[in-house]
Amino acid sequence: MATPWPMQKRLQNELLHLQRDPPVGISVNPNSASSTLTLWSVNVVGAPGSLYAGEHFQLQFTFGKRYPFESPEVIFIGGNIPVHPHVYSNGHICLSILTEDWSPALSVQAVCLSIVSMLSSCTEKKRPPDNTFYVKTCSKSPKKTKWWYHDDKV
Amino acid sequence: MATLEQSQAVYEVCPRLVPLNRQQTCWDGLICVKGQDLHLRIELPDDRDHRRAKLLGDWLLNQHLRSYRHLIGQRLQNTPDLATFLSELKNILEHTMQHQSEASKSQPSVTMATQCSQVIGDIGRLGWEKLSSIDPSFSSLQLISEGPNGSKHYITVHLDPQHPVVAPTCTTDLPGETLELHWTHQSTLADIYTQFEESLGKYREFWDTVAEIDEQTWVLEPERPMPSDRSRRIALGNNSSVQVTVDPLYPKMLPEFKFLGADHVINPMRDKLNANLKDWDTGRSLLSNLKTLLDIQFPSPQSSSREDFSEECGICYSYRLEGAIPDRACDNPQCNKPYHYSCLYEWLSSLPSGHQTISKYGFNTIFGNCPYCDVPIKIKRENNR
Repeated sequence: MATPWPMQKRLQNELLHLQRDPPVGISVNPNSASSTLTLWSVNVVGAPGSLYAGEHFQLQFTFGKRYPFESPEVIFIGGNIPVHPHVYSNGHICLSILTEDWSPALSVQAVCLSIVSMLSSCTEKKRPPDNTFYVKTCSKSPKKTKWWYHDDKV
Repeated sequence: MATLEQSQAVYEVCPRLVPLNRQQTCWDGLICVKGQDLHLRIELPDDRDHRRAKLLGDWLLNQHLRSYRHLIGQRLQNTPDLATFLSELKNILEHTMQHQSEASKSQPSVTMATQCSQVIGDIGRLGWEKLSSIDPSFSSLQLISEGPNGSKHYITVHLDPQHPVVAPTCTTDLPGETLELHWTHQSTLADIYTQFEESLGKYREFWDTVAEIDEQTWVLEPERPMPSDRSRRIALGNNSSVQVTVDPLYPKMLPEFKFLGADHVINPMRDKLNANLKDWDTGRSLLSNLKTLLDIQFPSPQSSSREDFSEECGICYSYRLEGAIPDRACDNPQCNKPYHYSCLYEWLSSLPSGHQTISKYGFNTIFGNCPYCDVPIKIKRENNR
């Protein structure tokens, strides 16, 4: 069966939506997505009342040809990587919706909101216990990591 | 001695080609092919190596050899001497002249002119207002017929080169079979036109039937119905629709039905239709029969907007994907998310088997969960897609 790849249209649609009607604390860097649509950078602000309140972070989305059938690759980039038990110091994020729990019902906006909410539920700013080992040995793309989602409290 | 042998050999192939100088580096004269004399001049370099010869000729010769320059260069390289080359050249010329005379025979310009004037005469008798377009060679033309309700119908006529001995071929926008022409040598365009209008009359009732549907319901597909389109996908609401395919000759008879959408919406409709089939009344229009049998009012352009029924696919976020529109929907009444067949198929078949509710491919059906509400959803594999 010849399957059309709807990636381009869907990304245009998402970008338009996110630029026109962005949720609080989330904004797409307009220059990042302009040329090919496959690499976006999104600015997120820590939610008020959380440990990260007012902190600015930058997320990088990389979309493969099979998006939205496959999840995008999402990492923190830039000078400020949040100190969080699920965020490694190289920017990789341990979040199940980014790999095995991905569904085409999710979107860039949904992923950003999930990440903000993951930050908000944190009670103590610390790196994952295996941070040093992981950062030294991991692949460049977090999608190649076999994640073991040990706790969902934070 | 060598020069004598050469001139002897050349003489045997082209008796009227003579050397212009003692060194025999320049030849001039006529080459005779199929009784036709063509002027030819050959200039050789001082060492008389014929492979670097220059070939000159009059315009007629050039005309004949126009598309064979490459071949001649090749032959010149591969022949041992001038005489052999000349006989090869003769062969090529014979071949091309034969070819060209055949080509000119099949399109005698005199016949063309007669055909053109006949076509112009035909159109004049038919009335120029009925001509919609004609191509510069007068071999293909389009005629127009206006129906009583302002509808326009077109017939394209392709005339055979041997018109009127061989019947023309016609293409129309009629919904049924192609137009069967009755054609004799004496037939004219007017006869085609009469036959075309007669068959238009046969479909008048069909066009009235579909016009009623087009006016009073939301037709999702085709986007812009053509006079030849026999199917209409009519919105029922709630991401569900019914596709009816009308018999163009018997438009009031029971059409073919295909319901599309979520099972919980379309199954009761299908059951109702099947239970009431006996009440189908061929005296009434198709739409009014449909309304009675399904016991519903179709969403109409007067009471709703098209956007209400063109909800985007939950996976690709677009309505039209490569021409297709969403024709699947989640069965969960609270969810009801619409999907394109190809998008839902792609998603369900790309899931690792751990996510499947039952076996992934059971009886040509793929099982999985709705990406939005996680309720089980299934899709049948369709071979024709």
